[in-house]
Amino acid sequence: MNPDLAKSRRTFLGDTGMGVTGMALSAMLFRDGKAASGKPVQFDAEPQFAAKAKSVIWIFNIGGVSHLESFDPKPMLNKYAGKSIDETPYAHIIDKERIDKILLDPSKAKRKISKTILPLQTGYKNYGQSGIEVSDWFPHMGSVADELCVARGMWTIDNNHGAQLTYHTGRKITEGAYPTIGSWVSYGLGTLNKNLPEFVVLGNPSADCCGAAWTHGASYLGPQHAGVRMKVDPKNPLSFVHPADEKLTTEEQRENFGLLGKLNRLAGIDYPDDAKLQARIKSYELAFEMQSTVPEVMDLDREHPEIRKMYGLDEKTTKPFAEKCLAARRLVERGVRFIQIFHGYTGNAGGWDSHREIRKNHGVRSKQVDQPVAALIQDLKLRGLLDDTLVVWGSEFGRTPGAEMAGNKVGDGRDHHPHGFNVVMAGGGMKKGFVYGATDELGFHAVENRHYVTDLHATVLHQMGINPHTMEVPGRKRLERDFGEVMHGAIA
Amino acid sequence: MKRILSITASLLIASSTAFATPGNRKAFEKYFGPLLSENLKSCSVCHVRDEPEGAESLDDFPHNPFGKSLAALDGKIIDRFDKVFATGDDLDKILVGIRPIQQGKVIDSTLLNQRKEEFAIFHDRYPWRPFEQVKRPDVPAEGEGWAKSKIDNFIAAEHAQRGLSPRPEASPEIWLRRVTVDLTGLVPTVEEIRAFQRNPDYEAKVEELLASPRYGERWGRHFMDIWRYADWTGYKGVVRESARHIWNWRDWIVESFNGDKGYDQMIVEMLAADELYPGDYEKIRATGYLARNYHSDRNQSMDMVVTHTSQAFLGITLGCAKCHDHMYDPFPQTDYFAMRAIFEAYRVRTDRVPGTLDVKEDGIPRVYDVTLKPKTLLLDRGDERFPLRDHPVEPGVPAALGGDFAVKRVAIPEVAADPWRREFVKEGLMAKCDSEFQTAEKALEDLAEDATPEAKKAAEFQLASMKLNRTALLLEFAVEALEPDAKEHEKKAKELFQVQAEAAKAEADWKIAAAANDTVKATTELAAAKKAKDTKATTAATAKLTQAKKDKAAAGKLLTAAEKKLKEEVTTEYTPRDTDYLERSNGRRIAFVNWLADKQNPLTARVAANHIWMRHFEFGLVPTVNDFGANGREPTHPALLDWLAAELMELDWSLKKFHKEIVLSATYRMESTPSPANLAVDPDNHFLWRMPTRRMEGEIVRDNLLWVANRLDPTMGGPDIPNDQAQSSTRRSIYLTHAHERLVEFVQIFDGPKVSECYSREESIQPHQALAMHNSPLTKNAAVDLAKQLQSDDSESLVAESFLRLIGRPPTDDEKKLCLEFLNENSSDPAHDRERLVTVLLNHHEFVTVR
Repeated sequence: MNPDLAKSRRTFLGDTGMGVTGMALSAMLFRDGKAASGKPVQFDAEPQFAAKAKSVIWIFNIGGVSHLESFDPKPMLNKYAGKSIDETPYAHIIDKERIDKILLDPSKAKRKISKTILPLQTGYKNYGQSGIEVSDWFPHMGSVADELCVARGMWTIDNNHGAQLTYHTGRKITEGAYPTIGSWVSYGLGTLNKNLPEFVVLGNPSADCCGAAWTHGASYLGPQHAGVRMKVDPKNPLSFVHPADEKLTTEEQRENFGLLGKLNRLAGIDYPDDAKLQARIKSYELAFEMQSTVPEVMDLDREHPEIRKMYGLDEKTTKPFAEKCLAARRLVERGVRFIQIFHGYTGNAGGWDSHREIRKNHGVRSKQVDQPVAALIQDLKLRGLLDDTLVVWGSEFGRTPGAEMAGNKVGDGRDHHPHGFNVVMAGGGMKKGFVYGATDELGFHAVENRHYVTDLHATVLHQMGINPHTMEVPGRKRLERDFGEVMHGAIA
Repeated sequence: MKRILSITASLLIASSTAFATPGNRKAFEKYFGPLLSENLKSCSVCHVRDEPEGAESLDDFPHNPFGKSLAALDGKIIDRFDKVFATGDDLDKILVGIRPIQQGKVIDSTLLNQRKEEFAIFHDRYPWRPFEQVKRPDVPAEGEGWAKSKIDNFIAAEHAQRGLSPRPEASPEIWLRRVTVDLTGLVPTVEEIRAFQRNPDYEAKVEELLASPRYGERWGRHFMDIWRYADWTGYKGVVRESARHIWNWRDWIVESFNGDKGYDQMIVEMLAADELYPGDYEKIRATGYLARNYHSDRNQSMDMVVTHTSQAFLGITLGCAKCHDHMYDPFPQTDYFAMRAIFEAYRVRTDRVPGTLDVKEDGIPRVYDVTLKPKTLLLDRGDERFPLRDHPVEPGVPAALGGDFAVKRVAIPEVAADPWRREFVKEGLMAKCDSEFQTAEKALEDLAEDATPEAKKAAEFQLASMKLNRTALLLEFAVEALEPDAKEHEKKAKELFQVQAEAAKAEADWKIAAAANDTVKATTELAAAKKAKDTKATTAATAKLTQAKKDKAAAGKLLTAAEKKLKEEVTTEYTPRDTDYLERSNGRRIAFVNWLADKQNPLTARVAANHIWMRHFEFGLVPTVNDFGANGREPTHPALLDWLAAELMELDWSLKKFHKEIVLSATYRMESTPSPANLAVDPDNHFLWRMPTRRMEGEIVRDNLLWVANRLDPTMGGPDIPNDQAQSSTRRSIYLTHAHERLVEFVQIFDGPKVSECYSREESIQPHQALAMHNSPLTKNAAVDLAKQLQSDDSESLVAESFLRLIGRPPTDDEKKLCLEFLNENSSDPAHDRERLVTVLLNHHEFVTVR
């Protein structure tokens, strides 16, 4: 984003002549003199180089999915089950200095390293031509293995659930709110359509402990770039969708919104930097359009019964998440840029957080997501959408190779593990049927193609045609690590 | 590799409990930059933990460039820091970013002097020690000529240090709207605006607003966020995370704020009114705070009360120490269980109130101690499956916070221990008995001449039964009035025992007779129905017959039991009509509030002052209002917060006086307009160079939609109004049901409070809000009424008045022009167009915005 463009955004409010409703404000914000091409779907802001992805579906599993029992099998855990890591040939893995260097977190001294190895709690199979190993908890994901790009070398910096926020902003929760990946996409690219938000959030975000609305927030980019939460409730897709004033015609409502836009812009002259006002104006213009689009998008009954079945919409276990995945595909079809789906909200650390009984716990959670996510990838592919839609599936960290102690006894769960974990991608120009990066023999440290969470952000932005380094906001210092490094090795 | 280093440098977190000052962290980053991670690698340079073990211990870091020189030093960390820095060469090297062991590097003297100066500032900074007792700091000299309150001197000091300049004073109209919404939740009326324009007496206005009953509703709701108010869901009729009639607590909150009850006293009443004021139901309503945390699952209940009591009042996350010692703050796991032990014994019950005997209809939910010696066991890793039998935990408070905690049991008077002995309860029971007796008497008199023998028998037995019930009740009252060791007591009690047995027999006789009567009637009906070949009537009569048989069987069992009882030896062990509660309470909660609401407590006043500050200025001085620990965020104005805390206590915890200090300050009077120079330095306005712009909370948006159209019903208090009536009810939002799965959608769309916890509100801007504002019945009704009220024949005056009423200022010429064009363009239905114009103005950003 060049500085001139940013400047023109800030001064737009003085220009009241542009206040015509029905025209998405973001168009004014981002078009910046570029002529509209007249195509029904178009980029508002030109990507800086050839984009491979137009949209992103960002699936976040709250609480920490075990990398060891999803996409990163470690036979050594079975071989040395019940033994202390110290008794294995891999004792050197536990190197305090190395761990501390990653974390730099005062809690590091107190969170004990779980040393007693817990064997894999489920089996693995090789799937597809690529032969990617996928655990038995994710058989449907296995069936689309040849579409997947599994990044096994992820690491993060917080060994507590503040990492949920870190996963989205790159910053520690104690640093407060920072722009999230979705908001950067919104900021950098604007919208592909005029009747839906460019950044949609489905499902309940992280709880208060772990970032809450900050996990889809925009911080200093301004609230107009924050994710818009939408419910997937076909019976009541959008609250207050019909004006209570029954006499009001659509044309009159359009006029109302038109006058409102002009008045708001006039009021903004005294407050030219007021991001809330800018967001308010945009929200009205979008809301007007959403009255007709959202009920249609969220009408999942329009889907073919076979498709519904494929997602698991008719099964109690899979239905809640299947609805969100299917809605996400429909949103992608309508040009929504970034769809962030949360799974596993429990009001605290999250549903995947399996300190005990991981077999039972992950068994349940994986059943809820496996089929819908696989169906989403399959469905996008069938429709030819997978090439320009990037699906990302992950969580804030992995889980420890050792069993978490339950008192003096060895427990049946795994603790938080930020030193190495995996993220699964599909489509959007990533390599297919590909495993990228690796953890060590015990799945402890990421050792090959190590990537911090912002590298994932950089990769997403790169696939969408944006160099994160070009997105500087005046007065806001971005650290090197905020920009991240693109995972070039995983890109097709 | 370079990238990783920069990460480590900026992520250092303070770890030592005593000196976990973020200032240190900032300073280190500033002075050492990336070198810190390369050379020093550890926070242990200045942070050395009290406990010798652990990664921060110096012994673990032989690579520490300060090495032995540091380890050899004793005493406070800061001394250590000073000594190292006082050793000349090493200090100089470090300040300019050279490793002490590096030889032969030339030190840039300009840079060195600059860094030394900066270090001096860092060293003299105000120490933020939230776990130490509050000491009133000196008021800075800055701000002369601008300051109206000492608050402003603190704000000005930060301005001066950062080169910020305060924005000019806002116009009286803007300040009026700001302060009126802040203190009452409602925008000023046109009359109020005009009166204030004529006579802008700021202090008188504040007094007036604080005296308004709307103040208690406004600030009561704020503290309902902090205290996690939730109405009862009524799900399966159980007391769970709230209780029936919990609104009594809400009313107590509103009344307490309006009456300017001290904040310390509010704490005392919420946590211990049942122990301290056992007979005072006005105060006992406050214990709804604890009822709200009740759950039949003990561990869950205790977890809620410890987690949220520690966060709400102390700003510490003691809940994090359930499974292990706190990972950031000096709270061992036992602190969690010691606080749990304070609350271990409480349970919830509903006491009757005059007017009805049925506590389902009305009553006061309250807490009481169920045992004097509750046992709290340490749970292994917080796991309720593994209580450690040999680790009972005594009640206590975190040692790290200091103060005294002394438990003394207290006596509970009869009115609280046996609430069913209160006169109005007895009168109510007597009246009920009398009425039942009279009903029976009348039924017998009114019996038709040709009534069946069964009907007659049933009526006679009923009367006999009621008569005996009445006798028993009178006897019971008489027995209760006697001392247990009185001579008469034994005699009367035995008499009561006998009468109760006879009454039971009479009741059984009556039930049997009634069942027989029902049988006769049903048989007759059945015969008639069969004769008439009326299948519907046949089915009904058959059902009645079956029921009568069942009743007869049940009554038979009653009779057997009653006859058995009659044959028993007569004793004094009669059956009392209700349960006795303990006549003593364990006093643990009293000990807790004595510690918590004490001026020596380091956190209580700081946390409260910070909460109030946040609700005037958008951000808390400590942004993490519920976490003052090391995992929270650092204060922007530590000295100001300490001064405010000291002031709040000095004002005897009067929140009204505290508000007054704030809203009359020069800081609060500033405009919210931007200044490019300030924006360049502090874009987020952390240092308050202007007044923050805020959006009304969801409840307040809804209240004002009613208020501006004169539709607001000012009735206060009483049972919550079902949430599905939110669009039609004209009561303030605070009175609408707020419970799990019973939330007010309109309020939630504007980031309404979550039920589980809501220490601070979020502020989003979403298209859903636009639809709620434009399309809701609330808006429509407001627009229709307003358009009628605002001289709607005259377009110009309609526009002018609407702006004043809704936005608090007259329209500009441009605005007026746009609005008049809007009206002129659409003349087919002028009345409707005016409503539409008002609708547009209700949707104006400035309507929901507080500048």
